[in-house]
Amino acid sequence: MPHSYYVVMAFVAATALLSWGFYRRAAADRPPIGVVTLRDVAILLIVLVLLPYLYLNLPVAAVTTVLALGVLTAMYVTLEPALRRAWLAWTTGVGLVAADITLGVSQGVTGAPFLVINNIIMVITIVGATNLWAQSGMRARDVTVLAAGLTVYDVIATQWLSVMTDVMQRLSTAPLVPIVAWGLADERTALRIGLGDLLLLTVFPLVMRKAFGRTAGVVALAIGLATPAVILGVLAATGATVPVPAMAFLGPSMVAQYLWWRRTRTRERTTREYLLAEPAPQRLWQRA
Amino acid sequence: MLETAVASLRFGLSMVFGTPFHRRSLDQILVAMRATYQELGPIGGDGEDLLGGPRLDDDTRRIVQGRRFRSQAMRAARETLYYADVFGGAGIDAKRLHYDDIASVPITTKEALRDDPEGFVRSGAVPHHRSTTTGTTGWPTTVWFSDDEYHLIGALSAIAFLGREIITPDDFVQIAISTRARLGVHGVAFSAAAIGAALHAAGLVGPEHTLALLTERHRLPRWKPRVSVMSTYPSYLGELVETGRRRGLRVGDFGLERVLLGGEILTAGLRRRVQEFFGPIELIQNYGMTELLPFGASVCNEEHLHFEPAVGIAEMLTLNGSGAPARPGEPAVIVATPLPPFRETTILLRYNTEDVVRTFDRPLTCDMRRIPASSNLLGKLKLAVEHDSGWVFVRDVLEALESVDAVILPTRYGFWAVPGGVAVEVVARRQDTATREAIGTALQERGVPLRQLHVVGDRSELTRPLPLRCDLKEGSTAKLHDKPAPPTPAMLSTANRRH
Repeated sequence: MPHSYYVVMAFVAATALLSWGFYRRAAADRPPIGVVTLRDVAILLIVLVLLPYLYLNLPVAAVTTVLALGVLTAMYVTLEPALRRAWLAWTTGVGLVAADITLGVSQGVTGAPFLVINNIIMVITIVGATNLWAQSGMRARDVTVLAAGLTVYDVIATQWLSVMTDVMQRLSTAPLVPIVAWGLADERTALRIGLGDLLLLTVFPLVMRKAFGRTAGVVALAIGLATPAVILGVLAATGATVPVPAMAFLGPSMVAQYLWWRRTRTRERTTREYLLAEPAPQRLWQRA
Repeated sequence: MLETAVASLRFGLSMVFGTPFHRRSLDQILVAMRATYQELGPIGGDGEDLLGGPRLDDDTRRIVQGRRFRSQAMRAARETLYYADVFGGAGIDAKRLHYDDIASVPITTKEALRDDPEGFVRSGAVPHHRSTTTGTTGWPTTVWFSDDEYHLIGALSAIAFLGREIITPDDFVQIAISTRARLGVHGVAFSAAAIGAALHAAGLVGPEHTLALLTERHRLPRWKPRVSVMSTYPSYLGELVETGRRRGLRVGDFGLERVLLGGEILTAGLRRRVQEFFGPIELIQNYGMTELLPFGASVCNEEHLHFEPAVGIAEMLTLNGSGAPARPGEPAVIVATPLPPFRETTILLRYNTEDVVRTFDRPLTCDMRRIPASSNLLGKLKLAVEHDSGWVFVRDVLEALESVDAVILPTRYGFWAVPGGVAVEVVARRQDTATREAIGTALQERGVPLRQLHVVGDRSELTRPLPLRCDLKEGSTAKLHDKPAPPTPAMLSTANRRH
């Protein structure tokens, strides 16, 4: 097994576990009014479908700017409660993004220094984004609908259209590439997983824990980590270089889990009920 | 969440540019607040602050308020009969007004509004709702509102009530104020519906009837089994305490948790006696009047009145009618201007509320210290008495009287000037020396220069009684002895299973 497999899986595991820990121990800086609803999920799906076409038609500088803004916002959600000072959180985020762009432009986006920074940025971004969704009351049902929608889209876009391959090729020439990857210098050992797949496999355990309890969350976490481990393992072992729509495996497992727990537990818990049943460590939950 | 962000943005733009609020955005904010409460629990101050706008330093606040006042004055001069005359007569150019020029605009008296309410209605407005004051101190004053303004007042009330957890979705709310107090009823009724609470607009009926409603047990699955929130007047609450004690009711007979009070002064003595009877319930005061709504004041943890600067301007002027600002620590009359976009139909500039407060002569330490403030209400200026060494206000007398348990609730009393001080009359349980001494001592401890004290046993013996809102009662033909029996434990357990 190439060492890129272990590196990528280490980042994937770090993302899911850090997000899991963050959900219990820190409060994301969410808007005081409003919860994530099914309508938000529908809007998100539409945006995700249209976004690749925007990426393909916008100049690289514009794409990088859009990505930088999104990444900075999501990173702030993670860094602000962790570092306890807003200015330090912004400085750290801007520093990481600046390093990513500098390395990407000067040394290319396949070198190890760039990939270390880029992977760290992706981890922090995903922890922030998933916690913002989960702590804003996103329901397990809504994540399941999102997963089902993305599964259909991912399969179509990867298998029948060339759009995802085109987007990946275009983004792999620019900084802030939305993947966790390693070993890109050699296509035989290169392994990568997309930001969208990671977002879904990270947020699903959070909302399942909130909705149905710790066991549901742990099961979702285990299945979520096992799925890319198997897919990447097969790709690494066989040396295959074909793009695999990871959502084709993640999505059905999420739908199945949701239906199982929904049948067993009758209804989802609200965040309020979840925190009453499983009080969060209070001192750490409060933001500075 | 995205829709809420758009709605909040539209709300913010109306605040910044003074344009009318978008009704559907207000509704979306309410829906989002309710969803947030149900999913995440208490919203806290952040939700309310979102709608109050950012806290401004004094200089910025003056600039913003000056600009809003100017735009309101321009509309008033152009579109209302009353202010066209005022500005024309005084030779004031509304377009040139700045914050420091506000004092040059003549004060609008209560009489002017009462005598010609339509003279204050903008020609371009769509007045739909006629609201009147209760008229406890004279002929009721009319204020016209558009339907959008009514909606706004309801929405802002709901946001405040849910944000501060005064009304929550599982509450059972009873309105026990005069149904003629259209705006007061509307604010609570709209809020209860928007928040998802159960509502009974019972009106201001006999105290026995209200007590029967408060002790009633319900079996509705989603709401608390007894009335948990009531909106009423302090004097009526006192009447309930007195009647309830007489009927042998006790703390366990009620499910009351919070009482919203307005329209009259709440004293420490009444608060104590209410909590002794109903248990440790929360008594929530506010300051608002029909003429100014939605502008009003919130009461902080130290019982000051705090006036939200985004909604209106509150000036504190001396009591001598000169129009000069009161000095720190002095009693002052509130002169208020509701600002756009919160007031669109009946325009009032520098309206003399005749309500007296005291200004502060030291920095505030309360939980709302960053919002302009005054002391809690001291009473109406026309009911205050000036004597040789100062003033006696309604609060001075009422605080003293209600602290004495021998004084029957609601406190029926009067006071007036006599040489060297004031004379006070009050209805008490006993008229013996001990009672007279207790009342006299309490009055003197409050700084009332008491010269005559008349303690009587019946309200008919009072010579100059002050008006009380509990006397605005409506008739009722309900036969209280026909009240249905309370549900049995078996019936209640069925309700719980449905819950």
